[in-house]
Amino acid sequence: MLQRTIDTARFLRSDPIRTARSGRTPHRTIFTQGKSSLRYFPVPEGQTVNCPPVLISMPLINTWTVWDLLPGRSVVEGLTGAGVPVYLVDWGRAGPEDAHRPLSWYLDDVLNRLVDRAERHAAVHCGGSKLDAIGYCVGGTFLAIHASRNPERFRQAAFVCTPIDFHKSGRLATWANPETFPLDAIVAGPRNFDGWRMADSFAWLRPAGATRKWMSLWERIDRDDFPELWAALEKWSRDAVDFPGLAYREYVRQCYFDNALIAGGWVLGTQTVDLQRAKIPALAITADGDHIAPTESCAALADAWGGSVEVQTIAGGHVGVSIGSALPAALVAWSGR
Amino acid sequence: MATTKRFTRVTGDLYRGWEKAMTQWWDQVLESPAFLGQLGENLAAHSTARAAYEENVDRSMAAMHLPSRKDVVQLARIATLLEDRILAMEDRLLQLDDQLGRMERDGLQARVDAAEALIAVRDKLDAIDDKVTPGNKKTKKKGS
Repeated sequence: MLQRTIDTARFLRSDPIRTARSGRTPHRTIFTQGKSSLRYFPVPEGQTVNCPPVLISMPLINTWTVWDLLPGRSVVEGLTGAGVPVYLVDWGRAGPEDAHRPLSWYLDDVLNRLVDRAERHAAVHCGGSKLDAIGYCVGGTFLAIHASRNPERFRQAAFVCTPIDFHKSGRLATWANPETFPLDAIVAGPRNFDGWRMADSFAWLRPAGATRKWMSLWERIDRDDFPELWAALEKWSRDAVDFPGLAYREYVRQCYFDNALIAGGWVLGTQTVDLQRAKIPALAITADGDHIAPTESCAALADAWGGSVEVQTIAGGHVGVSIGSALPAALVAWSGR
Repeated sequence: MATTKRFTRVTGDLYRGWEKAMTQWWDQVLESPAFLGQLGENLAAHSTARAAYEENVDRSMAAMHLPSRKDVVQLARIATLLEDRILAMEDRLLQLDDQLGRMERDGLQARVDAAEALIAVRDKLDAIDDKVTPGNKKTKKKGS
């Protein structure tokens, strides 16, 4: 026990969180718009390329590196390792100048353009077939809305831990209540919703989590790869990203207050949001220990989506699935490679 | 060794007991409408105070004839709007490029179709010519 404590202290003294390096799978940025960018992860040299490529829509509220946390703990690496080229939508870090951007700008303008550039790039490198699309967390919610507005665009779509029925989002649904959460006053201006507030709220979803993470480090300090994984995850979770103000107001009001993806009546930009318009087959992957997007919230896609939906539940939490081996395997199997 | 193991187990049990009790207590607090209402009010008050502070800083900067945060944000916003316009033009250029590519492909296909049709017509004419004047065995020109 004493040795374990000494090892933990020694590990923490080496400044592992600051020095942790994620996002190491070889890639290049092929297009940028504002803070957003399109990252291209080619298949490793010498390996057979299995087209079509996949496009991944990451959440706006964190950095994308959670899907490429460490070698061997990376969804992106799992896909490219199976011969699937990957295009990843990185929303970047919103600045105060982005506070006035409405949600429709992100979904209809930026996402539309990033998908277009991915399609053009894929046409040259992989032939002209349609892309497969994957969305994670809020990135999946955005992708679902985008795919329903562009029903012919993708071949198929997979939604990982993607909340659809927001009134079934557990404690987050309790907190995001118009009676107790004065949205317009908090994001007045509009100013961006601070990333650190978002990170704090996620941390408080499980109050014991703050002590549990230190305990887990202490308990597993002697495991070969755990300390490095712990540090990388800790760095990622502390690296919070601001949510653009106007978009945040619309997102919380429509998704959490009004549950508009289920209840309907959401006019985004000039068009009503209606997931029934989507006709492509979809896969909803849920995590059995997810406290941010619980299974019942994600599985609601089966009723909301216009095309066929398969629901798969894998073991893990909301973030845990991103660093396990089950998710890349499920996505590779889904993509048919 | 056995004593250390027992001590570790007891410590672990103590921790788990504490964690369970704390979680139960926090669960009650974090689900309480009174607590959440107060928290919401605090967040709103914090936002108001921050906005007032920033307004004051901006005013001080303006008084010193220095660009304020507001000015910088406004410039950045103009830059992003300009970028939107440039990207809209890039979209249009790409669409034009697509159209030109389609036209080029269609034009090429039309030329191939016309050449094939010309060969077919020539072959037919030669056949007719042979029928009309059977003794006239002229050398057929290959379609060019």
